[in-house]
Amino acid sequence: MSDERRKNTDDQRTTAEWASLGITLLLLASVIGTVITLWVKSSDDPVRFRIAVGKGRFEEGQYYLPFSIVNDSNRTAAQVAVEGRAGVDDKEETATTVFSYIASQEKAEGVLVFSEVKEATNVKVRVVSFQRP
Amino acid sequence: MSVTANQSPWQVEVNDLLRGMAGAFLFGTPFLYTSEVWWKGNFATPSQMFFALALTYTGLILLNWAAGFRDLRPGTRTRILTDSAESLAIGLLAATLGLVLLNIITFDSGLNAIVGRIVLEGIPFGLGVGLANTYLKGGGGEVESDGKDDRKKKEQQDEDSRKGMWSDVAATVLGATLGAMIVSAPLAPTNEVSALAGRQSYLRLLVIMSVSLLLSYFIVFVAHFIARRARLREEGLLQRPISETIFAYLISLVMAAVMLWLFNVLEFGDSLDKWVSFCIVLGFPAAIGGATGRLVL
Repeated sequence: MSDERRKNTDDQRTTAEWASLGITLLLLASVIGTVITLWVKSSDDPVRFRIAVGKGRFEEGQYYLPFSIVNDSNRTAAQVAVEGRAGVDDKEETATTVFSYIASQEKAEGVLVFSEVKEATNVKVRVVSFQRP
Repeated sequence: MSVTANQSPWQVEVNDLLRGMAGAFLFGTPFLYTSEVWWKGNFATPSQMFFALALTYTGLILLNWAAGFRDLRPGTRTRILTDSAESLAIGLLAATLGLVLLNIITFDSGLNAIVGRIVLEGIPFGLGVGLANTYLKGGGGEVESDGKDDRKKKEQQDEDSRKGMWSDVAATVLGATLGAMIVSAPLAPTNEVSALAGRQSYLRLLVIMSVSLLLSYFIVFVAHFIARRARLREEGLLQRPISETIFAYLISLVMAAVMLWLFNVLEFGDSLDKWVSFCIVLGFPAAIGGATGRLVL
């Protein structure tokens, strides 16, 4: 590889060079520091989820039930299947959705859609399966 | 000290950093459109992250020894080591900006996934900084000149002016079109374009457009990759930096739309929302490709 540019053989730096070196080293140190923190805090806890159900809405014959799910563990889970069950009189309707992955400490949001219910009565939302990639 | 003639040390430093940043996006942007990188970032363990950082730094030492991102090649061991650390930091910063811009990392993503994605994307972005002066050969570096060089420069200047308005327009259009096509063609049929387009609000789309324009401008007119001064000397219809940047971006959007239509990702019956979001999302790498094309031609 031939490079016709002049070489900088002077180890003395201008104020500008010192400033950019200082800022970039600070950035690098913060990334390395975060990785060390993750290393120290890492554990083999099993995957566990926290689900919060939001306020549903009825629209054009469908009941939309939003929810959020947080992976509280230090592991990523793949193909996370969430199932919602809603009871209407004697009938029970089920709606499901699948998240490709929910990373450690990640919060994801989804909506379950029911066609038989008009309001959230006896709604239960839970994770029914996931994979450990 | 590395002060180039007629420029203050701060100007030289800002130009060097912008060149590094532009190099990072030139090389790293296609990896932002590779979902496997985000996916693997979720599972990266801290030890793997350290290994990735160390590996990238080692690669950058070799690249800075050979090329680097600065106007002047680092000529001492200390400078090679510190320039490599700066390259890595610029690469990580550029990767973070790209991931945030495309909404691939958010506050809800989880710290492990955020750092994992940044570090893994930081590999191509970091190497892009180290390669900045290599794959767009000819850098704007001030090479020590003698009379012979001055004569050559004068001849080049005369030739440039002879090119005239229309050859300049043709070169700009051709460069922007080919560059945008080369970059957007392999990305258009991938699922990532629809996955990313679905994540963008209208405000985010406007931000992506602004960043596309800014990066395109920096690459061609600020980062001194190649013959920038020669470009500015030409008196073409599009040779004003802002008008050329906007015109080239429009070409990038058109090329993104053509590629998306060609691969049946978009059809004429699709909603305007879909057309707009898909074209702007693919227009980002296309604009960077277009800028590269304009430099090369």
